[in-house]
Amino acid sequence: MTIFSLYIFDRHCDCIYYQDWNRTRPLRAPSTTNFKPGVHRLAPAQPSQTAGTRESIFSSGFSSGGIGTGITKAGNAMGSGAGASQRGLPFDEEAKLVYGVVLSLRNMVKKLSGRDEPLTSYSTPHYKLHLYETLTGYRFVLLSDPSSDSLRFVLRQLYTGAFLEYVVRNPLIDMDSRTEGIDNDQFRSAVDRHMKSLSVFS
Amino acid sequence: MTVHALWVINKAGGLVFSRSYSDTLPPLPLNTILILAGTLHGIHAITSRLTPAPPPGPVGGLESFEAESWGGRVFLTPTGTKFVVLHSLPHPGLDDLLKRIYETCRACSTCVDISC
Repeated sequence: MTIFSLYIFDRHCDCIYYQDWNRTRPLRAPSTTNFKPGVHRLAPAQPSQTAGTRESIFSSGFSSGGIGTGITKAGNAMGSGAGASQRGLPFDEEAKLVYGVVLSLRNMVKKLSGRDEPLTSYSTPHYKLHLYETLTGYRFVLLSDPSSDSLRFVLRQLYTGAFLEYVVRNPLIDMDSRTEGIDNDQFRSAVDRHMKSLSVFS
Repeated sequence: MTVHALWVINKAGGLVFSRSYSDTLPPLPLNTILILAGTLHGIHAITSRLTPAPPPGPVGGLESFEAESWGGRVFLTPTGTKFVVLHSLPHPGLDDLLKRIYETCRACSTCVDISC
């Protein structure tokens, strides 16, 4: 039983906060062109390695090329098997995938039930994703062990506790800025404390 | 414990069978179900890419999803055909049910025709 990661998305579909625990496939930091401050604390890509720099310029050039190339890249990575997928995606790409999956499943659930019924979770053999949506359009997404019970109450506690206290009531944070996240030391440590106090953590 | 619907999706993401067994979920036009089946097929591929701690070997995709009063369960056969059951919550024994549906489908001539 464990908890892997937490994402918070705002109503503009942007990821404004990310934190992870116990991931064996760590994320890579996004390339400098896609970097958004105040979201995560991933170690930045190392500029000293020429190969690494070249790769990032290459990949950012490709990603600006349009949706077509993105799909081909994803298709290639899927086809090449587990070896390539061990490396992990850049942060910005993974956040977009998480949001996309949540949004499409949510729309599917809405269409099938014919009313405004929220999606609560989905699971695969290796992880379970929990979703909590607030009325203001914030989406809290938590990835945990597949055997855990519903953890929506944890996300609600995070929203009514740490999020209100250290983000909404924090005058230094611009809630609706599309260029910056909501990261601050108090919020990060409060989230960390809350997660580590859970019985499913460890 | 009710099964609301059963879908069979082929390995290309096309809907090859769909039947509703209860009226809890509203009836939808077949076109909409076709679109939703295609969406589910895409979601299945993406969810396996998001695995935070992948074990060595192949990584599986979407297995089940839950709304507040109902859920869905996906069974992927070795040949890539997906059997999807929409059901009420909680519903134990779905894995056995899906396996039995798959075996019945394999045994009958329908499956030979749609080559799953």
